[in-house]
Amino acid sequence: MRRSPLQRLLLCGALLAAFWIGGLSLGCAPETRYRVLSTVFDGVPQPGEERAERRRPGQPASARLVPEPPAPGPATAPVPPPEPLLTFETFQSLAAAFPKDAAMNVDWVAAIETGLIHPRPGIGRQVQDIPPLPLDVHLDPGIPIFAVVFPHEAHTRWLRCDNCHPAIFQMRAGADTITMSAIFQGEFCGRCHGKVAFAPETGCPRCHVRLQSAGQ
Amino acid sequence: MIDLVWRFLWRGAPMLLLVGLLGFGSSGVRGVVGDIVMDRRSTLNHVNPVLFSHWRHRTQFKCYACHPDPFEMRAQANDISMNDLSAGEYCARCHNGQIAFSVGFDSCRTCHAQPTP
Repeated sequence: MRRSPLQRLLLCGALLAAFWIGGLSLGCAPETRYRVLSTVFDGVPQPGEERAERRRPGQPASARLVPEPPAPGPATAPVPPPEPLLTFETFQSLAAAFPKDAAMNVDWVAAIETGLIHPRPGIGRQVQDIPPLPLDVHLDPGIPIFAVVFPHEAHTRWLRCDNCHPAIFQMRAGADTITMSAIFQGEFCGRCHGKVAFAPETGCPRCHVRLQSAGQ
Repeated sequence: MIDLVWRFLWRGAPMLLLVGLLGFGSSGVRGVVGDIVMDRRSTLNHVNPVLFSHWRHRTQFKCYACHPDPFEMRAQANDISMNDLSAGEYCARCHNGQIAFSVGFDSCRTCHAQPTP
């Protein structure tokens, strides 16, 4: 099949553009993706919008997986059957069904907030569930752009005070010298983050909140 | 020059697409899985290390169901042995055959599941 040089040039350009846009939309951070895609296409959802839409409860993807509430039975059955548990064979199947953060980490807090899962506080009745604590702690690392906001509310959906206090963090803002190198060595936030919660290197703006607004 | 690029792109396009799709499919999961491998004694005793599926337990329980009691929330802080489990400690608080599957010779591989290197 022979093509003229002009045709070849145009086809090369089209192919390169296709690879470039495809790679961007699959591989880049949402902020970069939005910035580039919105210069080429109209109607690209902003990263924030996309995320809010993912978190919205009752979306079809999660609705399919959340067990149906038991139908109201006859009046002779006062005890409702126990709620069937949401189980997954592999982490891949869980990750496909769960909400994600901007870096495509599984967002465990959003999973509770959207009602996708209802993790129990323990076995038996002696364990009390605790309500979320709406307290943001502002930590000042000295450089304004790296200011950290620690949300107690998100953390107390999973954790209880004595999980972190006083063994990992003293209960006074600024009492502990928290450094990124200590976190990467598994101390402070690194006790969980990087092991069972999103890794510090994948989610800078989730703690350093000003980086979030700078990226958008 | 343009001939070279043309040849590379046009002939290589299906292959590039295939590689890209495969790569995207296999990298569907990013970030922290949360599996914890425990090998304080297993390899020494010629059984596979324990692969603790933290994420699986997490879909059913909040952190404080297990932390800090009976499991201290720190890697290598919990010295768990099969003797402890037989005595009903650690995992066996739930894995007793009533709340969850029991610890016994019919269930070794359920926990000792981490392939040895």
